[in-house]
Amino acid sequence: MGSLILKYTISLLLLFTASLAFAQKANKMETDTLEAEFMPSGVRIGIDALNLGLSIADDSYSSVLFVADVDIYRYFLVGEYGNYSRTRTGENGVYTTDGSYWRIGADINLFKKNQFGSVLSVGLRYGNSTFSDQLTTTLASYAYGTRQVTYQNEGVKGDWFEFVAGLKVPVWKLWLGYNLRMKMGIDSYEQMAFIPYEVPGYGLAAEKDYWEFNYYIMYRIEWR
Amino acid sequence: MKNIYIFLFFCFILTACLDEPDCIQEASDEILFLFKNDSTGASQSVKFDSVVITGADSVLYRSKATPSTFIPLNPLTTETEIIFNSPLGHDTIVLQYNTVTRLISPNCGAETFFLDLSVKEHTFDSLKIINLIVLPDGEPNFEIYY
Repeated sequence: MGSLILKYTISLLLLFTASLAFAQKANKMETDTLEAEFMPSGVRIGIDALNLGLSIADDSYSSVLFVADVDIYRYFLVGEYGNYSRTRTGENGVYTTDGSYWRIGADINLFKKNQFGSVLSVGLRYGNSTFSDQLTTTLASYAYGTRQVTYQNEGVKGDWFEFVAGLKVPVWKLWLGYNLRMKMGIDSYEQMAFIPYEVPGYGLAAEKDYWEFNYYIMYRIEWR
Repeated sequence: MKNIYIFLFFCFILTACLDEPDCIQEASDEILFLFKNDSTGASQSVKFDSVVITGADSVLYRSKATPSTFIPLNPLTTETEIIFNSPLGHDTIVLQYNTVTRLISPNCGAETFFLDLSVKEHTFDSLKIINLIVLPDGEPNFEIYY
């Protein structure tokens, strides 16, 4: 009877030890899988074709916007950098703005699984711009006569936030995609003697929210 | 392939937004003086020999009787000196202010807001400040008693 109890006890201990070992192995496999999913698998770099096209078509407009993103599971860390220069000529003035801007943020892929690897995303961005601008206009007054004047600013800063929604699909070796973004939170600049009209990367400064459409052509460099 | 169609569909339906704002002028460069009788406080027409703004090309009034006058401030300086010449006296007022200029749009042009208006000095016997805000609402800024 005693040897039977000892035999069962040893068997139970072995079973318990084995189950512990199996559980540890299963946990390790799960952790390894999660770690693998959260490891970036590549970087996608690209350019905004719409800005490039407008720059070629319009002499008064010069804009280039680069974008890069890195995948982390279903999320993407996104960075953008752009240069922007535009001269707007009207019946009552010539306004030029010139500067550079960057945006950082993150997107989440709403497609959990997609056989083509396409990305339908929403995300947030923080944007920051440094620029100079100049206005040449004519002031007409019955008292002071007609005078041509120039107002200008140097080294102006601006920042804002964006909601972004977009779609990217792989086409041959490239990725094509667009973003629709709503920007908000730009400074009113009312403390300045000359209020900037247009902020590179944002748009018209007087607009409390501003929309932009981007069309990206991207290339993905994979490392796993 | 299906994704490409979805992508092209969204590309076609999305259109660029127009970004030309409306030509709505919100600023004014004129301040309004009212002329009053010193003893009764009633409105009084004053026949000015001239009203001149220092630095301006033109004489605003010449031999004209008026109970009030709009005077434009100079948007390119932070000070405007106005000289009132009438048979009742030769008086000067110097107004100080800050300016903020904004472009409405290249087609609409720019407008200048006059802020922090104050009286630097004046030679009137009696001057009453009504309000120091320069807006296109037709509200008087100063009353001058003769």
